Amino acid sequence: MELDVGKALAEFDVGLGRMHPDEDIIRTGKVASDTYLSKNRFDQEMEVFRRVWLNVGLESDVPKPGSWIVRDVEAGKASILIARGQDGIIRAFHNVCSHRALKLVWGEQGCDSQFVCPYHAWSYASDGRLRGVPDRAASFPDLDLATSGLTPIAIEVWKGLIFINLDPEPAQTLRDFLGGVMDLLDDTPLDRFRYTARLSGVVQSNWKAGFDAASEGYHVRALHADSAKDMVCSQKNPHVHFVSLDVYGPHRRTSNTRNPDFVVPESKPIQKLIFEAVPQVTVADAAERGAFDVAGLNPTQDEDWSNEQISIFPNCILSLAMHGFWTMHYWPISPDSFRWEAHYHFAKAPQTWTERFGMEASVAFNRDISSEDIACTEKQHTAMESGAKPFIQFGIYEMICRHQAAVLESIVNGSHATPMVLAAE
Amino acid sequence: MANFNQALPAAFADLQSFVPIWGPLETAEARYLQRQASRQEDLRAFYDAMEPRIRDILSYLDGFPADHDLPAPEHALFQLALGLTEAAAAIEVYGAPCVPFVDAPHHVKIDWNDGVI
Repeated sequence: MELDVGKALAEFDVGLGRMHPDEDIIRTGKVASDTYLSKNRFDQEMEVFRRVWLNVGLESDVPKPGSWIVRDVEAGKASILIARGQDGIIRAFHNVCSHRALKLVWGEQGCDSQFVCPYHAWSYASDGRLRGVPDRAASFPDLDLATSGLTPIAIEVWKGLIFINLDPEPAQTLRDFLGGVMDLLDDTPLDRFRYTARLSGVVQSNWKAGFDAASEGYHVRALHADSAKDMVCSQKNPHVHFVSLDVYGPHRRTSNTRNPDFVVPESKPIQKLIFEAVPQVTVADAAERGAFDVAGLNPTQDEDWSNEQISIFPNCILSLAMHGFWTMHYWPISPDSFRWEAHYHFAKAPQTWTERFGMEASVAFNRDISSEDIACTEKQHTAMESGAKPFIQFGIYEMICRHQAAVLESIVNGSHATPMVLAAE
Repeated sequence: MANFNQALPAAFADLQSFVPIWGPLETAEARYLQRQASRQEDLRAFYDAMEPRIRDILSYLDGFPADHDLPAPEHALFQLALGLTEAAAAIEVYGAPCVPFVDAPHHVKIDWNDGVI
């Protein structure tokens, strides 16, 4: 495939004005190492995280009235409380008590009729209203309950995915922000794949290095030689080029292939059993799109299609495959650490213990593959800090990494466009 | 859980010696940490004992409904099966307990969501 680099130069708007991705990065692939290291640059990127829509959870994380989860978005210095009210509506709040600004809910998830602050027991309903203040008549005679509820955060639920926006007045709706990605996925039944495993861990590296590793297939042959290589690298596509690419504003889509000749070797009887036990989410066993057989995906109709990767700016990668889908999220904590999160979405709950075994094993196998990436990006970060290489260089088939870097560069530094330049706060 | 040694179903009593190690580990995170802390020869012994039995174990367990908790002996047996998935990675994939060059102990939390709304 001859790659049309021009596609990656298309205009985008994340609610900060119309911009073009940095043309130098798109054309040369060269990105300053300092963008992965500098505290100033990190602060500028976090300002972006505070303005755009972020996928922080799943509708099924809060299944019934009273269900709640807490998600930390370190980038926005925010702890977010997402709760389904008695009216069935899902809302998001800053997880902060109105009394003395204490972190209100200290757990991770639960189902309760109210939230009670551990400090002085102010209590809130699951729709955020302040309900009870101990000793109110004597201590707070003038307190207005109606205006003292939890601070709301903009939230939208789309196809079972919960997005929030930390901007008190978001410049865009979720539809404006996702644009073409929403149209592309409109007919996909993402919300049908609700049986899920969520993986998370902390990685000692810049968040963009994690994102980069999941955005190209070039590394599979070397880094995943022990694990995924034989499943992915084929005779026809040994270096795992994407076979098609589209850019939708700041987001992108690629089609990716598998190795059609792959069979689990006899020397791996347990892996063979695992692959028989349950359809694998990440390893296609036929070039069929399954539930994701919708127009726009695999546009070249590649016979070895394995998955469609939708890369949602700034930190979410959604991969649709024959038997399900999976997501990867990279949550910045500091210039040199991030929280990695993966979700594997299965078509249905296990019907037998063999299926349950297969699903647990398949998730553990994918965890190990991600761990290979994690070990790699941690070593990359340490090596970058040496200063030996003032810039890194992404190849043509690392175009998603180029595009991510180019979009961020334009938002932060305004090159080749007339954007609103963000000042680090 | 000190001295956890729940008796396995009689047909699998030969695997009893692995119950104190893998039986009490209720999460994937705990099983992953156990694998990383194990010696390769111990993972090999566990794998060699389990691999020829795993298909029998799973067909036996498939006699129980998947949407209810298993009785204690069967639950312990399933725990061994899940432990095998970790041992298999060390034996079949990496030739070592840990994923190469990952700083151990490497913590990855895994939470399942049944998706029922």
